[in-house]
Amino acid sequence: MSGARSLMVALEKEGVELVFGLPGGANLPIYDELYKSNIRHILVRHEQSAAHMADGFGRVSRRPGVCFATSGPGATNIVTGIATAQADSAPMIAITGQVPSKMIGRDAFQESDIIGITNPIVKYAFQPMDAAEIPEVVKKAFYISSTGRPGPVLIDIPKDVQQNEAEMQFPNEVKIRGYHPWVDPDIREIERAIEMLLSSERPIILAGGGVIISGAFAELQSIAELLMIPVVTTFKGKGSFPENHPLSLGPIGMHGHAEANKMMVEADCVLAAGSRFSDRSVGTFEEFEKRLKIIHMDVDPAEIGKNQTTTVAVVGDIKASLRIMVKMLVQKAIKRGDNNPWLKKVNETKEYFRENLKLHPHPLGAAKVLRKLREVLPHQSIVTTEVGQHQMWASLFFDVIQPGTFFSSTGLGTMGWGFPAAIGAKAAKPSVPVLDIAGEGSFNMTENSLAVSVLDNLPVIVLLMNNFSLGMVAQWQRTFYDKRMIGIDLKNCPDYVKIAEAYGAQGIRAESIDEIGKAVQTALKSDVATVIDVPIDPQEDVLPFVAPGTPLKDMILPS
Amino acid sequence: MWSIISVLVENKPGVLFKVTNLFRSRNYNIDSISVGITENPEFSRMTITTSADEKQLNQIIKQLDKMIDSVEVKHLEEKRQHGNNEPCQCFQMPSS
Repeated sequence: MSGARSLMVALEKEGVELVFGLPGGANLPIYDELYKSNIRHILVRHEQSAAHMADGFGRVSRRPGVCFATSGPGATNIVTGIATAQADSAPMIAITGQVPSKMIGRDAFQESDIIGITNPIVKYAFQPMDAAEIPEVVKKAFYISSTGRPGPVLIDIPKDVQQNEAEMQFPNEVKIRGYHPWVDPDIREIERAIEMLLSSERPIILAGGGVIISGAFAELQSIAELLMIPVVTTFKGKGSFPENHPLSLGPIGMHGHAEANKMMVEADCVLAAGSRFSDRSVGTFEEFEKRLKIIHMDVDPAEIGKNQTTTVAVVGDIKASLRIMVKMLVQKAIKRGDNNPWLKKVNETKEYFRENLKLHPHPLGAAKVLRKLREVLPHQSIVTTEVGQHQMWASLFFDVIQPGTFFSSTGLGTMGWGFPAAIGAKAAKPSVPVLDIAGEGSFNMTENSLAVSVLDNLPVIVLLMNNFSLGMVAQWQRTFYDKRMIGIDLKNCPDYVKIAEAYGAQGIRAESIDEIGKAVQTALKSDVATVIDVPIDPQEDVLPFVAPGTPLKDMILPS
Repeated sequence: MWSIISVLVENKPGVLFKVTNLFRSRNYNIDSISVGITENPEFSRMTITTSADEKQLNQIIKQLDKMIDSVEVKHLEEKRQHGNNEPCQCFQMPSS
């Protein structure tokens, strides 16, 4: 059996049904075997989008999405996609063709050292030099990518290794001596965590992306309800807890909810579940750990103490750790009532900001647009975002009701991620509507994926909050650079309704809140992709705002 | 503060690159490094000296431990930084 054939067999054994990719000289033997296999191929228009689609697929299905690219520029084009997946701990397998092994190191045509290039941004990388290694390499790649803290794994296969014949053995399981993803949480630490939560006056739960990755929604909600602790999330953890729940305060951070930041600052003890305390979430590290007793739960031991000094650390899968905690609480019949001054304060603060936070007066202000979207979009729909102002408005004004339905490029902040990731999400879960909350600057970067959405029958909806500019940069220039505006004006070019139509998708311009509602309903009934172009006010800022390098308490509120 | 870290790694191409790149990408400095194959040819041992504070050192060890190609990470010794004229005997490996 050839190396390429064994790759297909190994992928099929891993349950792979579709791959996203683009062929080229160095991966043609792989494509020739793909032709003969039952795996569906989704042809992208740029390899970066293949990686984002695999990423979106992986986050939604919680098993690695697979993308293919050829050597050289094909491989370097997926670098951004790999870095995005790594920053957000998303499972992904990227398979690249490489020049023949005898040509490696001779600066051959379309040769790039993709193993070297991607070293700091992959969880692991393989370069099999013998066809017989491929089955084991694939097995190991899926094992590494999907276990522990998930991440992208690269397999770079020289063309001759794809072509060579070998006796193949397909292992059913693999062991890697330097890799131990399963850690049992320490029961005593969980007991200490409970004691600390019970003895503190102003406890808060900070739910991060780890809750979503491990699917620990029910466990998180049980703990919050048993102990009556308010829940804030990181931006990546948005939607790990229903945002219409009475205990929910929403995301903290640079563009967190005012009530969430305010209560985070006043808390005396935090249970951080699956959060890495990113600078965008905590503002300043010193300020954070000075005030707080921190209970840190994470599957990755290297996260403990990386950004914050912790009082109690629980290393292990978040779902497993929280489940043990729930069991202990139930066994000891620990339940707290809601009649305490802290919870009263939390509710008052929440109510205050809900009523008094000034919203942008424009008829198509972001809050109005996104609240209308929430009203018409079914709760089980999957929502992705691009990167920019619209993303932060989504954080502020779009409530995620069903946990685990909201995804964004939160760590790397990759413009152009949301649309291809939405297509990948639709491929993973065709039964639910998928919508990308987008800005035009970001959508512009990967809009050629409209061809994929239309031709491969993966209809998604793009709600384009179009302010004809790179809005977040404009906001920073207005705020920090004395209104010296440069490099932000996109001048209403191109016309996105026509762009959609040019690809055979549906383009709708919606110029009022009512029209937005109707357009989304039309899109939900449609079986082709829809781009809804909403002209918003280029002057609107994202507020509240915590300036970079400042503590959460110095949050700037709308005036 | 000077520390000596000993890392047992898989003996294959690219592992030294990964270890040194780990230091580079997290902005830590390597003061010296020596790498040699062990009695068992499947493994190499890297002995790294680095000047880092306790928090950094903790993070270096955890990140090295997280590397899939590292099999064992040991923190051998640490010494307070001496004056410039001090001889380097403080870095000698303890006899095992």
